[in-house]
Amino acid sequence: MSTTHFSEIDSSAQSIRFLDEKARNVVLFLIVSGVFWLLFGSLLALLASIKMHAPDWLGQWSFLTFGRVRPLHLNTMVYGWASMTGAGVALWLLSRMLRVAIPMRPYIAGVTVIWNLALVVGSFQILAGYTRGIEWLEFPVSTMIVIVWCILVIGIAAMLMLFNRNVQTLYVSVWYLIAAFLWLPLLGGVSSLPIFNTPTVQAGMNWWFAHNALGLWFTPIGLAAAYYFIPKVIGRPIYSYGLSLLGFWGLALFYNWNGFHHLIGSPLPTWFITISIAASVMMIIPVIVVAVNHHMTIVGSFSAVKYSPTLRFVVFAAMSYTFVSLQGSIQALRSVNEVIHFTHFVVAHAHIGMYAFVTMMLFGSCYYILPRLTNWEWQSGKLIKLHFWLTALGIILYTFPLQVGGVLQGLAMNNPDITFSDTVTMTIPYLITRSVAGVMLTAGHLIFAYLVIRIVARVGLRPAVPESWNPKLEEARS
Amino acid sequence: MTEDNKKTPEFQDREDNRSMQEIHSAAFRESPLPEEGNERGPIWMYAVIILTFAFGFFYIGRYLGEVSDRAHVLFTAPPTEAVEEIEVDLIAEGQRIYGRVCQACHQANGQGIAGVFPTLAGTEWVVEQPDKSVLMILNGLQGELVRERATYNGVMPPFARQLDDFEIAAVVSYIRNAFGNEGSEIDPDRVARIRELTADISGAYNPQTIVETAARIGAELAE
Repeated sequence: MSTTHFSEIDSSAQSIRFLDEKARNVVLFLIVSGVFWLLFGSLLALLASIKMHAPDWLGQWSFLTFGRVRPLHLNTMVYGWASMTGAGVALWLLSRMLRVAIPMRPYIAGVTVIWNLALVVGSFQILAGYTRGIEWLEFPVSTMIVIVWCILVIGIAAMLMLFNRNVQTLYVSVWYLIAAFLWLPLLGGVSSLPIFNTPTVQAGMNWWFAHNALGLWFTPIGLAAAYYFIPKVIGRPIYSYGLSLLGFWGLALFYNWNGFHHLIGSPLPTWFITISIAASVMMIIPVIVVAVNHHMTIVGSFSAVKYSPTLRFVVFAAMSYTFVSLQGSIQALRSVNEVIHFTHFVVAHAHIGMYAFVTMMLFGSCYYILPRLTNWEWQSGKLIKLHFWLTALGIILYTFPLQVGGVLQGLAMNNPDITFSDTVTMTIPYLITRSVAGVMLTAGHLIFAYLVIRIVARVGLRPAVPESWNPKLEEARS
Repeated sequence: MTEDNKKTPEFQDREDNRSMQEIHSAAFRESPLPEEGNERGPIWMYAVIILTFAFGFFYIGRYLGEVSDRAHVLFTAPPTEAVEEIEVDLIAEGQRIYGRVCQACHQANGQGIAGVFPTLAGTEWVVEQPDKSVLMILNGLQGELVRERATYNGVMPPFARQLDDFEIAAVVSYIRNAFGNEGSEIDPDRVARIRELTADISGAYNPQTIVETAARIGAELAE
């Protein structure tokens, strides 16, 4: 379809003004909830990070011990911030791309309330010591089922949008988002089944779930946002439809096997782990294809990142995706895993994935979506820049030294002449660096939250620029 | 926008960041989402794809091992077909078990503690009547035990669940050949028979019942 095939500016039921007005309340609710959990999760992250080099700090209360604060940090960031904001962004993107208003809005608002309550209950449960003890699945099963059910309801709304769409062809982002809404309930449902009772099988399920939650839920949302916002902001078409297709099906085909590379050296059958490693390496294919597709789209328009906050975050995130994925493929090899397994390297790697890719992509999406939902302007370009540099430099300061430290730690742990306690104390400088980076990231989050509150409450300056749904077509297209 | 507006502090804040805000406003006007292009992509990308596939197939072929539930295939030495019979030194094994289980009460020198834990050195029930040692280890012993040097009234716990026949035979063989004692080694099969014959007995013996039971099984084993 050509760019003028349907009008985005007219006053019909498919116009972006109409769509955004319908989307406003539910998407804002999801995003604002997500931002709350981002702040809460950041606090927990700081506590956990400082405890790594000051283990006695706040140790007198059992609910503030590392074993409870750290899992809760992970769970609130994953099921609070990233999933809620991600679901909001996904709904808005689908509404725009399928030219249909978000359906079931009272239900979505309702499940967002329930989702928030489940997170509150789950937080108390973890802090009180009621946990499943499985990484990424620390919430008790009952709490987890409620969260999965909430996402399922939002997924049903996404399916209804697909069935009632007003466009002929499906843009690449739609494939990713619809697939994500199909994959997550499957992951959450299967992992909640009471059939994983033997330790080996439970460990297998654990990493199947945890890796796929990143690869088949957050990654599709992140890539969908990149595929949408890059051409949207710079006004150039995506380089290649064929490569989009290849990238999507590569992810769908290879990703599901990846998780078991976390269990190299475990009593899982050898062939199982071998196939997982092969699949992890095969992920190079969709990653390279997506990277080429994004790069060739944006090449020549790179200067736009200077001016567009959205593009700046989105490009940083897209580059992080390429980096973290290629790193992951290498990490999966047995010879490399031998060194870095059980070290801080893996923690840093996970944060490149969940933060430098997913979180930065969500920030970029919010910078585009919120002005359109609220019909208001961001209050301060300075603060947006500060937010970007604090988080971008913060995550680099977090991950790079910690990965260097992780490799040194791994080499030391493999050396029988070095005592274990020495391999622990040698990481302290890197852990302190991480806490410093954590303070930078949290400062960035506070700035972002301040900006979000200002734009959602519509305080400050009235927008002085044409509204996105300006009826004057020529002006709007400028 | 009027000139008055431009003098407000908020506007000056915006002015400082004109480039960012300006382009942001331009984006605000939203160009429509362009249709995807249909380029083929660079050749090196296809080379990477082919090499990755090649590596994947090579890796699976090289390290698949066997499709079974066995772990660490190809990464540990395969198990040898015939497990070699290992010569076991019953007394050395018994010494290890004694150190782990018995020594806390009967002491490293087997002397026990007078009046609290009976001695094993030169004791009749160890040297001459080892069946009683086996019975005692299996089910335990309590009640007043009068001996030349002291009278004991403690509790010997049962070890039937913790120690198997071989281990009991080993530890009894050890105490019969340590602390100045001299005696034969005890056959694990004999311990197994004694365990079988006393399977119906629950609870600890007392000095009276252990004598009776030892006499009964002594007769049965002699048959």
